Amino acid sequence: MSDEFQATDDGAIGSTTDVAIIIVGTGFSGLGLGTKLARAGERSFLLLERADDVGGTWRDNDYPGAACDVSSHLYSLSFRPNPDWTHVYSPQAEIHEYLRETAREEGLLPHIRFGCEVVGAEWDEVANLWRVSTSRGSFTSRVLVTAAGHLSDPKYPNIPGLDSFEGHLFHSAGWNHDVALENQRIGVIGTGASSIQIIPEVAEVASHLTVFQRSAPYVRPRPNRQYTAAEKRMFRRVPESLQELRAEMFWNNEARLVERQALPALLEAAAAVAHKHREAQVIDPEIREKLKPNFVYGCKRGLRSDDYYPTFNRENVTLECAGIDRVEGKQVIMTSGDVHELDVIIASTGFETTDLPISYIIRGRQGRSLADAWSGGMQAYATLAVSGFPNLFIMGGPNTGLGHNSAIYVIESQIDHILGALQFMAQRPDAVLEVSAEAENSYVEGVESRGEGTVWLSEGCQTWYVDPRNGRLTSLWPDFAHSFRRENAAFVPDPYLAESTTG
Amino acid sequence: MSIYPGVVEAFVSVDGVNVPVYDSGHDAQARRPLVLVHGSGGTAEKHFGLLFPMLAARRRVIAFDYGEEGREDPLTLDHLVNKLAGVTEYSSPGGQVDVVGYSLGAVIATAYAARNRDRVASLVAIAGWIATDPQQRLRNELYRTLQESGSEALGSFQVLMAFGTAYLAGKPWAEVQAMADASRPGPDRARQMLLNSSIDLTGEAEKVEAPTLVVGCTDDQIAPIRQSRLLFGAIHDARFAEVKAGHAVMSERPAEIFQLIDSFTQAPDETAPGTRLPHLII
Ligand SMILES: Cc1cc2nc3c(=O)[nH]c(=O)nc-3n(C[C@H](O)[C@H](O)[C@H](O)COP(=O)(O)OP(=O)(O)OC[C@H]3O[C@@H](n4cnc5c(N)ncnc54)[C@H](O)[C@@H]3O)c2cc1C
Repeated sequence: MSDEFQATDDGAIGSTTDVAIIIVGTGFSGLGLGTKLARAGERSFLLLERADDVGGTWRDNDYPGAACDVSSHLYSLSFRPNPDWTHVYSPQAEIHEYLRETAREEGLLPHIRFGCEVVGAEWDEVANLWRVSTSRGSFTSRVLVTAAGHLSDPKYPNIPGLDSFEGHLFHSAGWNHDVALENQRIGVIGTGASSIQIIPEVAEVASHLTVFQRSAPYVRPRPNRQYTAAEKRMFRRVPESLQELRAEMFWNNEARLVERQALPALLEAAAAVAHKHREAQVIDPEIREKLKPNFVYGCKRGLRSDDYYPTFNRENVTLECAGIDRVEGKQVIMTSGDVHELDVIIASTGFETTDLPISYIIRGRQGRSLADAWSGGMQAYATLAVSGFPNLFIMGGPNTGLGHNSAIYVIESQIDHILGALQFMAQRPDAVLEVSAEAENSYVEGVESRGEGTVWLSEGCQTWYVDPRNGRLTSLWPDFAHSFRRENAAFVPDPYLAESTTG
Repeated sequence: MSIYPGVVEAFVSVDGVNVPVYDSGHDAQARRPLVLVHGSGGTAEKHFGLLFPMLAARRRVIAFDYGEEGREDPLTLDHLVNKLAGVTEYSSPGGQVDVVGYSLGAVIATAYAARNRDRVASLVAIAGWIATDPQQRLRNELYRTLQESGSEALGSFQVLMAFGTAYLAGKPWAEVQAMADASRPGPDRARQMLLNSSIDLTGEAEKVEAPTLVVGCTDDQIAPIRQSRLLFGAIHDARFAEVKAGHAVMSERPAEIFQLIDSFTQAPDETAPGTRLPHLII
């Protein structure tokens, strides 16, 4: 890591730094917003980052085979097009470098405090500002934006004895690169988006790989390839060619949403592509059967890979579908009684999504925590503002997950909304923006009613898009991405000013 | 037709022909129904298989087939316009509808809107044309020659004409071959081609009063974009959107077409007559 990414201190610990805007997190969301602020000439803002580098998801998920599964030219910031993406689906290191370059070139580094974990944020009703406590001192700000991610806190499976496993254990989002995998007996728990990238890579080096599958995913072909030198220079010299490609990718993804509106014919056609892929790639009929998904297509994120299925043709790979009962010493003991002796376990079991950790440390009016406000499932007006939490904007919170298109498009829509709010506040230095409970509830009803009749709320669909505590579709945006922007990007003051909360 | 779960199929009788109608049914918010008019060589399902469900998730949508199979007499524009009139009456007895037409359907919808100004609340004309020009006649003649001679080149010719260059360039070759093989003349194609060669709405299009969205496709070789620009010029209360696609925009960019229809019909007067709608920033 270069020196410029080193942590800096704001004077002595113990003093309080005051700025206009605090942003928590330096992934796509935080850096995207920071870029827009810097370009607009805003100077009084800080980005607080608990890690020692930018990148969020793309810093943490550096497992072998990590890459985006939305095409790179679409999975990038519209205001920082990159003609040099090497692949249709570029690898993690390249995406991480793209974000580091964004931080550098947009002049954000002086605004970032690394190694600075936010441990508390309280709304001060007297001073009308946020008091933010961190592992590196205290801060105050008029506006608080959380850009802390919704796939940033690894979730381990609940397996008795896993904690005391006597080999090496780590999560896909916290890969332990000190552990040599060559000729080891390795177990991968989970078969989701990360797992299908990890499994083919690990199988290459392991003496034996055991894949613990709870629910087989639908995997469709991934037409990945390198861009040629001619294409890359064309994108640079003819910028609209890049823009046209990006638009084509976007609208192709949008068209796939109908598959999820529980239209039997379209769902079947889409599922058939995955079935054909599996049948063409898996030799052993028994294994092929075990790899057959048993939930309705579209219920979970669509996965793409060309080397996942063939991995199960290898001699050194076992597919285990029984439930794990417990772990003892180096042994994983199945409910069937079978035992797997392992040196390394990789938990590729996803993230805390319906219960966002950041919600536990934010306190609004009357000291009420956001987690408390969300005890019946998370919800927000325009996906980012919550009644009782003035001048707070949440990025990547409720109803921001997309199963079918690029997260960056959602992030940029939220950035637009926040910039609109900041512009409004700049003209009214005393204004406190707090969304009314009515505006919040009627907004949320409007979103939830759209979930009806979709695959996500259909029987037998178990997905992280739905809050298991109440069956509400709290994580996902159950509509087109373009509708997300149409409905959420514009800042309108009225819903925020209904309760005469202006100072 | 399984175009949408719970779709109601009915028949409307027009000039002695039974017109098959597909109705998505009830709209909780009781908004105006939206009527879809398909183009030549198609059916409601073939042209609107993706658009219909996208729209129906929002509101009541009605599509219909021309239902002309087996007839020998020349097909006329008047006859097709009458069908749309029948379907409008079925959809909203005595009331108004939003009309969306694609290709020849856009021609039918435009003529209908000109002749029935009180029935059309808004009009969307996608990849339509105002008056057949020599480029189009040439293509139609060539098509007829290939068809009459039973040429195997017909499928390739159709795919070449129908799809945009960027769209085809991005497809694996095997898929393009399969598209050509599968490209068979739709029902009643020959009569439709004759009608296509003789369209002239030059005077009539100017009579359209409804707020109108004209959508032209940049790579269109069947109804070249200049034709849509002419419609935009002819219709007083029109705005214009461009889509980067060939004539087969319903398969190339169904979601973008949906977005245009959805946002236009929600507030037809939001943009002033004569506006060229910018592309969404993506
Ligand atoms: C392996 C993987 C692959 C993915 N691939 C795709 C894809 O192909 N296409 C797609 O659209 N989406 C993809 N996603 C979703 C992805 O999360 C989003 O696209 C996007 O990266 C989210 O960015 P973010 O800035 O909102 O959050 P993050 O990238 O998660 O960043 C959040 C940041 O906040 C910091 N933070 C959190 N809490 C605190 C705290 N209390 N104090 C200080 N700092 C804190 C974290 O350290 C982190 O740096 C993928 C996700 C994963 C996990």
